[in-house]
Amino acid sequence: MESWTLAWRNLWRNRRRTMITIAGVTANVAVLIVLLCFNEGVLENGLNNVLRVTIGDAQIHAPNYRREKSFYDVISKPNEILKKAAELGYNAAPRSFGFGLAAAGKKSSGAAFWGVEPELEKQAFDLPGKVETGQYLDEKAEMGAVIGKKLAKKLKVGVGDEIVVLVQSADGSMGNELFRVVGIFKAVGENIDRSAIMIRSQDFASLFAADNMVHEIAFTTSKPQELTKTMADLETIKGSNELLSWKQLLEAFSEMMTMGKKFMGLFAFIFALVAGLGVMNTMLMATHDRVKEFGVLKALGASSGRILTGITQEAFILSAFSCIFGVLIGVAVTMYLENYGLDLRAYAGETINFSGVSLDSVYKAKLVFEHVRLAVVMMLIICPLSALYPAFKAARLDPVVAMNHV
Amino acid sequence: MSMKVKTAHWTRTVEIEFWAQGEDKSFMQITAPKKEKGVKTLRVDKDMWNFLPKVKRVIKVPSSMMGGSWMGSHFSNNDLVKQSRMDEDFDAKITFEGKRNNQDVIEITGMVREDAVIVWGKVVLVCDAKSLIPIQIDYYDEDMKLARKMTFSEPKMFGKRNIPATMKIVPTDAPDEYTEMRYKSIDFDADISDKIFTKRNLKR
Repeated sequence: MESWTLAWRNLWRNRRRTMITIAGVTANVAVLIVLLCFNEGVLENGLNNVLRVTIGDAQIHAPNYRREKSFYDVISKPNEILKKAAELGYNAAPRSFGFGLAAAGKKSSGAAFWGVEPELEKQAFDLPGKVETGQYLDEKAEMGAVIGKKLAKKLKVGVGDEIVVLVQSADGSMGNELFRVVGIFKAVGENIDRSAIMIRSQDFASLFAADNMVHEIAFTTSKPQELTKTMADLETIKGSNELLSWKQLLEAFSEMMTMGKKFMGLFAFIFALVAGLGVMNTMLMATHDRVKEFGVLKALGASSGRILTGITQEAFILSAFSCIFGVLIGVAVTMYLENYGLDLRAYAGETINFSGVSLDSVYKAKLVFEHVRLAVVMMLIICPLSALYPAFKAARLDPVVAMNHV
Repeated sequence: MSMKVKTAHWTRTVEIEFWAQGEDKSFMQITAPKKEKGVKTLRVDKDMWNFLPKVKRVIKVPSSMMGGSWMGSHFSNNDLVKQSRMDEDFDAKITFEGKRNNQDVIEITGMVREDAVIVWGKVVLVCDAKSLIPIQIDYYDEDMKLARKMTFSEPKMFGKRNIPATMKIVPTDAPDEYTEMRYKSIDFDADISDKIFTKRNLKR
């Protein structure tokens, strides 16, 4: 305990230098916490955006569907899966997919038809709320269609206009129907923007002569963090179908997130290293000032170990105080960013498109205990470690040379 | 004529009436089955339109869909457009003359021209040496792999011309599937009004 008091007093012998160093390391800790939490918030927000549009936490398909994309690879017993999913407390949205031709006036385009259950989609996903003009489908929207923004532009249609569709039905015949546009989506991602025509599953069934042909069931839960449990639950109800988590469905995005996190880890390490160098510089100066003093101490019988410990303790106290202030400031700023976010709408527009995925332009941080802990632990380890070099230098001093030091 | 299409999932037959003028204009109308009766297709040069009686609308087939299947068959829309333009897209050479399967045949290989916008790499046509009736056409894709085989059979006199009455197309990647066209009757050099090949006629 005595040595701690000594270290404490030694630190305040050069008040200004110590204050500046504490300020520097404090800033390091605070910035590190804010950056890590901000990155977490942006990633999580982006992920939620992505998953909540159409993908969900997990999806079920027929085993071959994702490879072959065949209209005939349908989910077996979809109604049973939907029923069990509801019992387990998962939101589930069944979808049928078909391709065909859509035309309005003289314009025509290839299109991807989504047969959906409007009520289930509304429960499970955000997409129904992302309608720019008009409205989303409902049970009464017979022969109604909600279509992607770019497709609407290409076909030159607005809400209330009719589109003629021509598709090849499940029995090989040509299915054709007249739909009325009831809504047009905002920009939500290239696939949907360019080609999606969403219609009620009943209308899909009659258009494609495809009763109960479900190609995809997408699940969402209120607890997206518990992916392992979700997967285990869904595994019990999937039957003979293929179950994939969003990490498997969005491999590139998932890898990008992992990469992002690793990169932030590296970033944090570099940050701590810079802080460490600051501490090292301070301690080098402090020991240099006290060379004579160390000589006297050694001559009086102080062991090298004692000098080493003393200097390391100084560095530890320095970093501990910095951490306290750093955490206070960092957490305060993070909490502000968590509530108010960084609004980039003025520069970036409502959404930012990133490889087909639309992200919100208001960035919000997310305060995560792990990140605070990471910043603190890293500082508390690296700063005392960086004091070891000056400490060793001081401990190895020859008392006679040291006392004659000018 | 009738067209029978068999795929892994369904088999169906449609009856078609077909008019053609020169190589650039054709018009066809489905007469059976009932569900598709009245579906009409008009082709003028490189453009195609479909008329859908159920919704009473004409829609133009966009260029992006020209590679798609025509009426669910193994023919693409492009096949209908480009079939008659082979001499424009290919450099033809006789690559074999002699006996094959006890039949005197001539084999003609068409290599695709560099400027041709076409999905095939080459086509190989085999025809009877005497009558010049086609027997078989093999289509190779751009990697020179066999993509589909068209065979002709049942040569029959239609008017004064001897023509194979059936034409069957089998895609290589799905050997169980096929599309078979069968001519019932053909009038050559018939007097056809230009009015047939108009969009107005589609809606009639």
